[in-house]
Order: sequence, then structure tokens, then C-alpha cells
Amino acid sequence: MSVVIALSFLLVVMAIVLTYITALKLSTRGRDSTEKRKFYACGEDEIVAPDTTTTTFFRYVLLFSVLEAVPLLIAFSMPATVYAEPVLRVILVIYIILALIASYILTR
Amino acid sequence: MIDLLLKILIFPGVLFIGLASLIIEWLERKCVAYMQSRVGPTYTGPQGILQPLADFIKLLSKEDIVPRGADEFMVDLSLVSAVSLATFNLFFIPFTGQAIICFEGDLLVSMLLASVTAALIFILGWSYASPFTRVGALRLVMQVIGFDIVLILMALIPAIETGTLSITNISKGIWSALGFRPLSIIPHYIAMVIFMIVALAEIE
Repeated sequence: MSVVIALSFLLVVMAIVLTYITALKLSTRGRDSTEKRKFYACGEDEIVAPDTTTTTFFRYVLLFSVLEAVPLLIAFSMPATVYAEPVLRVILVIYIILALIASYILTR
Repeated sequence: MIDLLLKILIFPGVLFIGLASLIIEWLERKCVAYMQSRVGPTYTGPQGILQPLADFIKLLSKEDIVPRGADEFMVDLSLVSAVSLATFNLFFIPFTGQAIICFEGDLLVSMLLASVTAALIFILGWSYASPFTRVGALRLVMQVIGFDIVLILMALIPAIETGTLSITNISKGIWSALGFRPLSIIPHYIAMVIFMIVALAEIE
């Protein structure tokens, strides 16, 4: 099954990348201008976001990926079901450590 | 091996999913048009069924504009990854009675992939320098976190009924499981309605 999963994923990625490259090749080449490359700003003057938000972003992503409902469910169902294999137990331990780190970031 | 490749690339794989998505988009547009007292697409093909295909070709030929200050690499990466994962996720659905990928626990993995797709859309929104896009991306993540709990609880109802966490086995076993207790279809129906509402809310 793992071969099927890997092959399926690889072929899907290849098909999507191919479509994306085809779209890039087919797309119209317009003249570049500053006005055109302005980002959406609800009709207001452009607000350049400060770089300091980068840290918050990664913290947010960490919390999202670790404390989201589905990974939690997978982790907690691991010992009880077919996931109870040695390798998956190691993943579970890593997950618990990550969840603890995320909880610390969330509550500090 | 050839059989597997045909399954992955043609039916019920990438090509079938692509064509099915065009037809579903047409159906959705017709339904929305009916709800808004409009006729929807009519000109392209019989009943306008080729309109999504025409739109797809039009979108391919449109100019790609990346706004100033955006991280172009992250935009490309998150776009390709999000579409790939969303397509890959459909490999868990048993269109022909047997999904391409089927193992005990694939229901949870499928739900997880849906959440990761949302996270990638969040990264896509973040990659643009605009604060408005970033606020929109954060809103999306809040929505996903909020609705995911309900979504997975609803998806677990047939899993509990059939005693399996595999989508293929659920689809095979649900009717025999319900056959012994016909009235137990009622919570399933309620769960289906809630699931559809929550799924629509989550994907906006």
C-alpha cells in the first residue's frame, strides 16, 4: 500500500506541476507596470506590512499544525488501533513533545 | 502496474477527477442560478455544460500577475501543493466501490489532508505582502480550526456504526449495518446535513 500511496502522490504532483507550467507558457505576456503590480488594498493607499510579523506567523503555523483537531485524533487513536506499530509509536511520542511545546507557546 | 497507473491517471484518478469537477461546477452554477432566479450558463454546449471548460481554458491564457512584495516562490509552492493535496485526497473516495488508496484509518488521514490544504491556502494568503490578504488568511485558519471539530465528529458517526475507520469499508458496510436497525438512519441523515453545511462553511 505504501508504494501505491507514494506513486499516486508523485503522479498527482507531476500532473499538477505540468498543468501549472503549461498555464505559465500559455498565459498572455503583458507589459509590466507599477500600477499593475500593486497589491489589493481596498481602494486605500498601500500599507506596507512590517517585517516583525514573521515570528507571529511561524508561531501561528506551529499551533495550527500541532493542536488541530484531526492530528490530535490520529495521535490519540494510534495506541488503540492498527497504528500500534513501533515506528508509529515513536511518531506519537514526537507528536506529544510537539504538542507540549505548542501548549507552552500558547499559554506563556 | 499498468492497471495501477491507469487507475491513478485515468479512472478514477486525475483525468476523471478533473472532468468530474468541471461537471460538478456546472451543476453548482445551475443550482446557484436557480436559487437567485437566473438561468445560469446556457450558450456553451447543451445547457451550457461546456462553460466550466471554456472558463478553464480562459484562465490558462490569462496573464499571471504577482503583486509587488509577494514571495513568488512561496506563492508557486503553496498553489501547487494545495491543488495536489486536494486532488490526492479524492483518491480515498471509493468512486468504483474500491478506492485507489484504502487502509484502516484513511478517513482520519483524508480529514487531515483537507486541513493541510487549508493551511497551504493560509500560507498562500500570507505570501502576498498585503495586510488585507493576511487578515483573510488568518480568518480562513480560524474557520478551519473551528469547523474541523464538527466535521470530523460528523464523519465519525458512520465510522462508529460500521466499526471501521476506512472510507471504502464504511461505504461497503454501512447498508448492512443499518439493515439491522432501520431507524438508525435518522442520526446519519442529520449528520449528513450538518456535514454538508460545515464543509461548505469551511471551504467558503
